[in-house]
Amino acid sequence: MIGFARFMISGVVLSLASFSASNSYQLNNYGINSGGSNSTASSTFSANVSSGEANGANTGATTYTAKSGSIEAQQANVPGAPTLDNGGGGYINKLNFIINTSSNPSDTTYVVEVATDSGFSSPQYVQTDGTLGSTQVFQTYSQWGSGTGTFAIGLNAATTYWFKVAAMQGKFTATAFGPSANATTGNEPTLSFSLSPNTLSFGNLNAGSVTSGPSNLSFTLDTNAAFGATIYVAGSNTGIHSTAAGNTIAVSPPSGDLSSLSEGFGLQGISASSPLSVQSPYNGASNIVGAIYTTFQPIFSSSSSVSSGTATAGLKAKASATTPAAQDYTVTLTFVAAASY
Amino acid sequence: MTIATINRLKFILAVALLLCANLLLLTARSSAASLTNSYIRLNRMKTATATSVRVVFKTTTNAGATGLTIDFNGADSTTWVGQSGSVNATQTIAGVAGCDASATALPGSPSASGSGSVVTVTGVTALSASTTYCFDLTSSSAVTTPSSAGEFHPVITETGGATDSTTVAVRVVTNDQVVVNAVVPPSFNFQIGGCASNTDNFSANLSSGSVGATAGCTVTVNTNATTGWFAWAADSNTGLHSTQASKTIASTTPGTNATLSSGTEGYVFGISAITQGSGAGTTSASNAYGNGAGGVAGAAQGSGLDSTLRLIASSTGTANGAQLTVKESAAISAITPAGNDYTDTITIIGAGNF
Repeated sequence: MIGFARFMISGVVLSLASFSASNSYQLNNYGINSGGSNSTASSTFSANVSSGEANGANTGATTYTAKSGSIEAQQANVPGAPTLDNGGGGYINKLNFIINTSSNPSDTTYVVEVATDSGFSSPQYVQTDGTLGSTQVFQTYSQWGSGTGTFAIGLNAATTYWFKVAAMQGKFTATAFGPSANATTGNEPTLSFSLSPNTLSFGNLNAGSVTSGPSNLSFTLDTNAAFGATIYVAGSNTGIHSTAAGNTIAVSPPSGDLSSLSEGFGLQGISASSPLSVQSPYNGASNIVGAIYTTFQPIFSSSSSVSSGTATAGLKAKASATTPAAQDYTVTLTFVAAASY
Repeated sequence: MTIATINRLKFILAVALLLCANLLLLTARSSAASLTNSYIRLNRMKTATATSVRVVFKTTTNAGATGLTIDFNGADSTTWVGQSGSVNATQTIAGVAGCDASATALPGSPSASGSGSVVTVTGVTALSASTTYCFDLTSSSAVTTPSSAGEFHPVITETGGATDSTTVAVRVVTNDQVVVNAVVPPSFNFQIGGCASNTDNFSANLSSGSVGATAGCTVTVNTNATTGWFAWAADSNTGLHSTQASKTIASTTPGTNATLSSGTEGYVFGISAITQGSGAGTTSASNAYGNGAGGVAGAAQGSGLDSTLRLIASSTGTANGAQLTVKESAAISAITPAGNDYTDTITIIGAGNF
């Protein structure tokens, strides 16, 4: 009976702690003890002293922390775990957090502690600008963004961060930090791309013969873009052009068969490592080449991420008996890559 | 009510309150989301190069954004601007449909401006949820790539009625171009034919009662000379000469168009037909060796030749199968000495004008 009564007394204290504040009142000190109590204060602090209180040991669970003793009745409620959001993995260098007020009054201020381990071995605190710093910064729920929350910024990609919050009201001592929550920032998007060679010289184009470029164009592409990537090509002209002759050797879009045409110039995708694939009109075989456009056209594309992707393409040209003679046939092909995240 | 009952009630109340507190902690809250299917295409990836830009993004379930920003610095520690990249303060923008993503052109009357590392787009009609949009920053200097190759992570952020964002990667490389060169060598082919053994005989004995003519030979030209070609002719005897009769039926005045008359001695060379073939050029006979008015020579028409190479025809451009038909005409008088060895050798040459 006695043991049960003692338990019940503790239960009463907990329940009264939950009732200690509302929007219109707060019981600052209602401890149950065998001694007396008194208060003292200055402009910067307030203290209540009582004797005979139970030892202020912590009790708690994953969702609350409580301490026995009357001093805790004058503190704000310990905030619950904050709500974290990593934007579905889209937040690379930031995380959104929303304070859990645990029904504290609106003038309660909160400090947000952040660490990269659950033990908070090297804690930092969210500053007013969202960055992390060594100084504890207390702000109200409203100042921390209310239900929208605030972004903690300047974080590292692909890193798990733990957040926990302490509260303080008026001049009373801040609460202990409440339970923590964690979230992981997204992977930093990646894209690498290369092209070689950067010059190709066909030499003489003999009338009536299909001439292939002296070497193929080689591409590398690597990206973690979930929605894939594309390599595009655009030409400074629609074909290989001579200023001296005022003539362009080209095929009419979208493609042409140099075996049957009297003259022409175009590009042909030769190979692509999966999941890259050659795109029309550059996917012809033999002497079928895709036309060169002055606007970007996809030549290789993937609908998913690409790891160590490679691709090759070739250029082919053919002159006719009446293709104006000139030494300065040239075209500049620009290749760019874009990845979709 | 006993003390035990009161205490029991207080216990139940405390537990209930604890449960309520837990429920509050577990209540889900709304949160910002991330744009998807988003890319930024630099239309030049080369270092330190000004370029236009294409932007594609897909909205989340949050609709209503009326603008967006693109921060090329993103959250990089090595930033776009820090590596001497830049964003042009003056921007031009155009919504584009398609963009290889079945995108909708950015709606409304968008305008854009740049400041620091950020391009700001405004004037967008409230965007729909779960929709892919595309637009181009069309200025050829919308941004300038950094001076060092590397990977950068711009952030696209909606503004207005929605504030979703995403981070993408772009790559700056040392060279994004291939320069292709080729040579089309000059070619010129000039061939006399159409007459056996290059011999062009008069079809009948010459008579004072009519003007005789040869059957004619052809001269065929193939060339890729862009400015065309020329053909010249010269005569070894300045007329038809008989050794037996020690007589030359003389050419008419070389370089002057003439029409022979029966009974009056004379000898002319003329171009009686022209076939253009293919190519860019237009072939024509010289006036003297044509009809005197830019056309081909009629019957008994042409001009005399001598030992000086005379321009007989030309073309303005390339030719594939351009062909001249050349003929000789002669007239004798009643006292022209008889001889069966009247002969002449005409040299015809050509050259491409490259």
